[in-house]
Order: sequence, then C-alpha cells, then structure tokens
Amino acid sequence: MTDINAAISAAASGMRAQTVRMRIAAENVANANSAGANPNEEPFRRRIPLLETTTLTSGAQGVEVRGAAFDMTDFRTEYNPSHPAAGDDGYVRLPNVDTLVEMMDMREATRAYEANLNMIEAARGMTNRALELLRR
Amino acid sequence: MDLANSSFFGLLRERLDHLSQRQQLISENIANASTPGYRPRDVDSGAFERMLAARASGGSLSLSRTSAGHMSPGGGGAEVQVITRDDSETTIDGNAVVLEEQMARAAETRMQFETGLALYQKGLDLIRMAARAPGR
Repeated sequence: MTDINAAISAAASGMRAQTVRMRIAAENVANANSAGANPNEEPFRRRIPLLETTTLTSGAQGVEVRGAAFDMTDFRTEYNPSHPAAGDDGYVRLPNVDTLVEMMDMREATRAYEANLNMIEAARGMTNRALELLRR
Repeated sequence: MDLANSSFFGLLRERLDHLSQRQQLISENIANASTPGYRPRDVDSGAFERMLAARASGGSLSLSRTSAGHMSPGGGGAEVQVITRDDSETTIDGNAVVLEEQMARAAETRMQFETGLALYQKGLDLIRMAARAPGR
C-alpha cells in the first residue's frame, strides 16, 4: 500500500504546483495594465513559475515550484503623451504581459490539475477495492 | 499450508505490488507534466513477464545473467525495473510527458489491479468453500 500512498502524495504535489502556477498567471493577468506612476518607474514585469522535480518524504518523485523568475523580454510601449509615466518621446512603457499567453498557461494548468485529481481518484478506488476483500 | 505464500496467492501479491508501483510512477509522471526536462518513467513490463514465465514453469525467481562474468545473485528478489519511457511528444522545454497517454496507462493499470483483486477474492472463496463443513 505504500506505493499507492506515494502515488497520492505525488499527485497532491502536482496539484499544489499547478495551483501556484495558476496564481502566478492570475497575477500576471491582473497586472496586465499596471504601468508605473512616473517615467522612471518600471511597469509590472511578467513572472514565470519555475517547476522542479523533488523527492517527497513518501519517496515519490513529486514536483515543487522553486520560485518565480522575471520575464526579461522588452516592455510593450504605447504612444500616450498625457500619461504620467510617458517619457520625453511620449511613449509609455506597459507590462510585458500577453493575456493570450497567460490564458493558454492557465488552461494547461487546469488540465494538469484535473489529471492529478484523476490520479488521486484512481488510487483511492484501488485502495477501496483492496479493502473490500476484508468486508466479505 | 502457507496460504499467503502459496503459488497462487504469492503470484497475485507480486502482481498487485508491481501494479501499485506502476501506478506510483504514472502518478509521478503526471505530477511532473509541466516540469522542464522531465522524462516519464515506467516499469519494465517485459522484465515482469519474463519473471512471470519463469515462475509459471516452476522455476524460482532469479536475475537474468546475460554474460558469463555476471555474479549469480544470492537472494532472488523480484526487483521491478524502472525504465525511462518517453511519450509520443516532447515539448520544447524537454518535457516528454503526454497527459492523455499517462491517463490511459493509469486506467489500464487500475483495471489490471482490479482483475488481480477479483482473482484473489475468487481464491479466498475457493478456500472458504473447502473449509466449509459438508452438507451446509
């Protein structure tokens, strides 16, 4: 039965990691228009979750989010001289968030989360069937 | 009579052990479905079938020796061999897990596990029938 428990712990670590990934994607989307207050202040910079394989206490190879790295691609720019953060040339720097990319990422996180949930369900079903042997 | 280690129950127990270990590996693969560079693992089913064939023909379990220079093992344990088995696609970040294939494999493992349990149950029923007082 230790294998089944390890399977459940691995799936649970996957669900946790996908939740963090979802949170970071949500933060990116929420801040998709967070420009600075003045020309020197940087707008919001997109963050990327770093997933890594880790050995859990149950001995299973689970997954964990090691942290979130900054996306160092260029900021979007928009011509808007009236904006307080506009530079001398009239352009405002806006976050390097592409909501379409974030949506795809969220979709993938949801799918992976569901797959992990199914694994827990399957492991639970197997344990229940084994326990039924005792009932008869 | 040692029931738990009789050939029928012993074989089934090994089968169930093998299947739950496989389920653990699949669970790990699904948990790591978004980890860059992760390659899915699986049990070497060929090795299990070879072991099964050796067991069915009445021989005891032993490690295969492919060269005369190999040491013959002292205790012939039924170690399950874990191999890396990439799915049909590998993403750009080097992850070779395809969720659908892993889910199919999980369903297959679960079905085999339940078949094993049903056979175990049948075996117990037979013993119960044999132990019943005649005429009842």
